[in-house]
Amino acid sequence: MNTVESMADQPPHVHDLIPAYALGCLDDSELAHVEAHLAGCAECRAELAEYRQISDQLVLTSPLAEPALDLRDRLHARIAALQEPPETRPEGSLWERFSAFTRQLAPVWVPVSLVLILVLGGLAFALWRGLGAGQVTQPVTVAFGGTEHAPGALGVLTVSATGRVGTLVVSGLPQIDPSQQYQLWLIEDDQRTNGGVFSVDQGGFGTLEITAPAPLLGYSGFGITIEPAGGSPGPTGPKVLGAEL
Amino acid sequence: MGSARDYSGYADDILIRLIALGQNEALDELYERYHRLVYGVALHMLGQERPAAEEVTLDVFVNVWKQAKSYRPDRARVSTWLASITRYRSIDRLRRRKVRPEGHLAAWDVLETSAAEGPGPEISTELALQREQVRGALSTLPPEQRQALALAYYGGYTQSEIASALDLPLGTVKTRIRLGMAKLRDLLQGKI
Repeated sequence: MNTVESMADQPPHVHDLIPAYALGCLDDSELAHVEAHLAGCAECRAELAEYRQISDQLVLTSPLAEPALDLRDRLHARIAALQEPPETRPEGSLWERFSAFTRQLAPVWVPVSLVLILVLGGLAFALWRGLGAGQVTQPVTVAFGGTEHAPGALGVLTVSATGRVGTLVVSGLPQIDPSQQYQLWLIEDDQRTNGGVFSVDQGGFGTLEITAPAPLLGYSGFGITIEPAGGSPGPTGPKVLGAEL
Repeated sequence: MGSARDYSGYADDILIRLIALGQNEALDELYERYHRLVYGVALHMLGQERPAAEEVTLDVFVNVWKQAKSYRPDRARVSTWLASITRYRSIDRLRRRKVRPEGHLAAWDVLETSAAEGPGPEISTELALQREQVRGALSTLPPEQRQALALAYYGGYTQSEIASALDLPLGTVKTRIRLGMAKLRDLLQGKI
């Protein structure tokens, strides 16, 4: 009896509407119903993912066309305009502007700030819980900074959803002797674990695919040093890039 | 103005990561690879209006520059990501206008008369293969299903609007879209 009643209470699936939803052509009268259902139905969400993959591919059938030659220059100009503010600001000036902004909001700032503290605290807690075991639910990016041996170098490590696989991309590293390579170290307390070796091209760019023995975000940091080609059991050369977690 | 570095050997997702690092020349390389696709999608959807299509193209690449850090390679290929952004931006324009531009043609039949294309300077081997697979699947659909899908996909019309435009019952349009997409899924799933 209870089984029949519970089945009757189950919302119907929306399989018939999912293809149109994936195309984006559902009428408003059905859109809200489908979205509400998808929020609670993994089966229909999985089917939607399949149809979205199809929908995304259809656009590739469009004819190719050549725009005006100056479009690239217009893109450069637009990017340059967006980059006009300085890349780094002194903390003082940012704080001054923030303070001026909040003074304008004085009548509502107290309750708003309490809400923000609660929200940010909750997010930080969720992030700590999520990352505490070195696990990720979606790709995470870790930025590397250059040391005095390579002040212009930059790097970014993208950690996959599984947490153990990552891709490192570096730029601005100097050319080194062919008998040497750059080596990535996974740092945990006093331990340095080999993360792989790589070389850079003439422009100082290099990439490295990493499969770590443990979740990458469980380490306390990363470092890149110059080592003999093929790598070393432990760091022996100067450190050029580093990142702390 | 040529690029000081040669990015041509880098995979698409590496280019995106370099763009996220602030390497504008990587954006140049990405533009070189995909501006014909992006502009082509926009031009096709916006009724061959070149100024509007150029604006959408600029918006798409600026968006890539801004959002490169959020790109997820496990979700979609770069080509698909770019083309999808272009389609959404174009649909936004179409729907804001209320009235479709003159010469607007939301159809796939026109593609059947396009010259066959293969890999070359304008298109990579991978992209050419993808296009061929999807076009092949579309060609197996009955014309009425292809028409309904095209109006929804490229025209940005809702099912009700399609039914009104074609003077058909709403249920007929819904069936054509559902069956057409189901057939495409059966043919393309796992292949793209």
